[in-house]
Parts: sequence; C-alpha cells; structure tokens
Amino acid sequence: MTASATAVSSPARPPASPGLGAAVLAEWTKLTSVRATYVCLAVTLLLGVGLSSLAALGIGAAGTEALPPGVDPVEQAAALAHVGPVFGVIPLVVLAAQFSAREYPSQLRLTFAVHPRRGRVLLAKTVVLVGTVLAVGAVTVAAAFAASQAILESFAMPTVSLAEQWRTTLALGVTLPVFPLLALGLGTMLRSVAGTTAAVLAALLLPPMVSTLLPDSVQRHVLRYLPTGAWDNVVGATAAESPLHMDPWAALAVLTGWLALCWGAALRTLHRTDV
Amino acid sequence: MIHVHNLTKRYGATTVVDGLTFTVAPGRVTGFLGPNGAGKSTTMRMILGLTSPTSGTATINGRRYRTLPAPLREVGALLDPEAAHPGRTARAHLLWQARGAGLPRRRVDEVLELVGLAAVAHQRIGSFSLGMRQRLGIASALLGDPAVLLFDEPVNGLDPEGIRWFRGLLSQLAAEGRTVLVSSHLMHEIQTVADHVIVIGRGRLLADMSMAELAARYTGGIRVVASDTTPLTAALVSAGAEVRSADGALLVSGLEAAHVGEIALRCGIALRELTPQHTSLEEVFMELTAAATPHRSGSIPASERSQA
Repeated sequence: MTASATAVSSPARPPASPGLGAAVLAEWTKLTSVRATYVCLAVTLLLGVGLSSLAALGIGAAGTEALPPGVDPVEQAAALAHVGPVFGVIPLVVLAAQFSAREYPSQLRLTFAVHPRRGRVLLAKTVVLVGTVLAVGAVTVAAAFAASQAILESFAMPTVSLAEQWRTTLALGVTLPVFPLLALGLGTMLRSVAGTTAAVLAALLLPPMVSTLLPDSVQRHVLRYLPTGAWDNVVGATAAESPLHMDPWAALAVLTGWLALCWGAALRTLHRTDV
Repeated sequence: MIHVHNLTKRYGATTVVDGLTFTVAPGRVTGFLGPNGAGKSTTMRMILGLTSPTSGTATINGRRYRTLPAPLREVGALLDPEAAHPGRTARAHLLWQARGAGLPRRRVDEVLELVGLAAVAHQRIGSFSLGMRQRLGIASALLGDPAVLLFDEPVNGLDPEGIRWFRGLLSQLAAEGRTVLVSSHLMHEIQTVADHVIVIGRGRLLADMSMAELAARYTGGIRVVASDTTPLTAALVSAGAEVRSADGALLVSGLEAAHVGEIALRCGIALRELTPQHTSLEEVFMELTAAATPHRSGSIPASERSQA
C-alpha cells in the first residue's frame, strides 16, 4: 500500500444540519451493505412459503377424511396460509437483533459521532426495519397464501380466497414487524445478539407451546396479554371459545403497549449509556 | 479548538478522569500521552459526547459536541479500528457515514484515495489488516473535512511506511490550521510530530507544555570518567556543580561539558570520558508517569526467577 497525496479538499458546506432523513438513509445503507441481511430475508421468504406449502402438501396428501373431528377444512386452509409466515418471523428477529445489538460498543460510537441525537438513531433504525419487514413480509404472506391454496386445490381440498381472508391476511402482514421491533428494542438494552435473539424467540415460541399445559386462569390472565397471545388474536388465529381469546382491537392495543414499553425503555437506555 | 475544563469521570468508586483542564489549540499537533489506563480514551469520548462526564465540561469551538448542528463537518475522530463492521466493504462503511452526515458521495472516494485504500474500496473490512483498518478509521475522521481532529492511538498496527505517511498527514493538517489531538502511550510515536504535549496519569494532568520545554526541563547531566576522581570532584563542586559518583564515573550536573573539561585541565587530571547525557523523551515520560501508572509490571521474586 502506498501513501497518496495528502491534499484535503473542501467540500461545499451547506448550512443545513443532517436530520432524520439522513439518519434513515445511513441506517438503510448499513442494513443493505451486509450479507447477513440478505440471508435473513431470503430465509424468511423460504421458511414462509416453504412451511405453508409443506403443511398443505401433508394435509392434502392425507385427504379430508384424515382431519381430526371438529376441524373445519376451510378454517384449516386459512390457517395453513398463515403458518409459514409466522415462522418466517424467526430470521427477521435475528436480523433485528443484529441491526441493534451488533453495533455495541465500537460501531455505536461511530453512529453516535455521526448522530449525537440518540433518539434519532433509534427512530431511524425503527423506520428502516419496519419498512424492510413490511416489504419482505408482504411478499412472503402473499406467496405463502398462493402456494398453500394452490397445493390444496391440486388435491381437490377446500381452499380459501384472498378476498374472503383479506382482513386476517392484512393483519398478519401489517403486524409482522412486531417481534422484530421487540428485538430491536431489547437488543438496544441487552447489547447482545445472542441474548436478544434467545429472549425474543422464547417470547414468540414458548407461550403457544406451554399454553395447553397451564390452567385456564393463567391463560386468561397472563398468556392472553403476552405479545404472542395478543398477536394471535390480532390475526384471528385464536378460537372464540379459547380462554386466550380477546377482541382483535383490544389485542392490537396490547401489542402497541408492548412496543411502546420496549421502545421507551430502549430510548432511556440509549440516553443513559456511556459508549 | 478544544476546551476541557475540570473534566471528571467516575465509575462507582473508580475515578478514571480526575479534574482535567487543558486547551488544544489549532495550528499545531498536540500529543496526548499517558500510560495504559490513564484516561486518554475516556477523555476523548467525553469530548465527543459519547460518555457523559461526572462533572466538568468539554467543548469544541465553544459548544458541547451533542449540540453541534453538523458534527462530522466540525470534528473528525478515529477512536477504534474495530468501529467498522467486518462484513461491510470499505466504501460502504464510509458511505453510510457520508449519507448520515449529508456529505456528497465523492467525499468517500476522495478520502479512500487520500489514505491509500482506493484499490481495496470494494473489499470486505474483515479481510483487512489492522493497519488497513487504521487507515480506514483515519479516512472516517477526514470524511467531513473537519477543523478539529482526534486520533486515539492511530499508529497501532501501521507499518513503518504508514507511520511516516501518517506523521506527514498530521503535520499537514496542523499546517492547514486545524486542531489536531493525537493520543499515544508511547512517547517515541509522537515526539517527532507533536509540537505540544499533554501528559496525563491516573486521570490527572501531569504536564501541558511544548515539546521543546519538555525536552529542556529534563536534561541528564554529564558523565565523566577520570584518572583521579577525588581532586576533580572537589574542583567541580567548588565551581558550583553537583556531583554524584556512579559505576566508577562521575555524574556532573549544573555545568557545561566544556567547562568540566577546562577544570580537569587546570587540575592536571586526564579525562578518559566526557559525555553529555541526553535523557530521551521516553525516559522523561517514564519519570513523569512513574507514580501514576495503574498497571505496573511486578518484579519476579528471586525464587521464581531461578525456577524459570
């Protein structure tokens, strides 16, 4: 490597200070300039479409008569369309944890040197993450829906159309950023990619797994208000007779509360932390 | 111009920076010296608003860093060669900063050219050597063409050619009227390039003076080896010198070497050696910081040494 001329040129100096737009552009450049981002997004698409398709294939091959008694084949078809994208959230959580916790501490120093207003950095990261997840989520949800119904149809099984299921499908697409956002906030607080990923995935996957083992009162008073319980109600995945059921709008309010709490705590941490 | 006033940082019971007050003036290179753990990096982070001081203030051109409208255009800093994500290319690493600071894209290519990384601009930083990552950090610092520059241990990992290049860059930046603060824990790294030096130890200010003053304040005396030391010592002392004997030689301070020679001639004593002792700045630094070094090497007890 040879030393080059050391002339330092003077760039034009517009008086305006860089604002939120510049911060968003900087975070967008960061997100799109590492390979891990593309891997996570590709895995989301693959998991989303793949799991919905596989499940549809299994159900379709077994036929209607193999369904357990009491299961409505039409409801089953709608659930199959959504099962893949829900698991597609896992790589998005990993991505969000990387996007926040990975920077601590050395890279964060540089980030805060560029943007000393730390709230702006968190807001910019939020904007970029939500935008990315919504875009990739929309493709994943739509593709999983189309693929699962096409497979069911090929087995002459009952299917659902997007026109009938638009409310729950839209709700799923719009709320896909919830768990990635929780990971963004928690990553800012925990400053560990592994710790954040583990905590958020536990919050995403554990409650549905243990809910049937717990008494109704615990389900009704605790699990229902956890992020997963609320999310299931928003996307209409909870049966009306289940102790976990609540009004979708109330569930949306609960989810919003979790997000606000997490975001506020992250902001507080950022302001108090020496880096 | 950087002003640090009564700056203090405590973490629990540990005081890392203890009432520091100094000014870094434009137009010269200021060395910021201290042993490991002296509080140099913490001080720099407080100047950059990354770490909040327990008390005191640090301002740049009269304003705290966090209140600067366009900080990258006023202050550039190299803090840590690990500040770059290893998966990103050198160009992308500079591009996000340029976009974040509202700087034109061509600045990225300019600084890459400037630090000699243009040829590897599209390579991942993970494949870079420490010296290349330091150059990238220097490019970051220069990105906004700032009037104030801070470099924390910049020559770590640079090869000799790189060190020479960097010294030239520092001199040029200072000659352009910029404020340049360079930290190091090794005197020889900056003694040839710094005009002024601030020495700290255990978070406290030990010296704040020009390099010339520092060199003048600590001179080492004259070593004299003579055939007959007793009469010579008497003659030297009566001429006003202070004389100590060491290893069969005399260590004379307070007289010029020529004067010592004349006295010896008058006494008829043959001199076998007459050597002015130049205390290196490194030794001056060691002496200054000896009492303020938190991590000192212990001496090995004799029994362990014999086993080793």
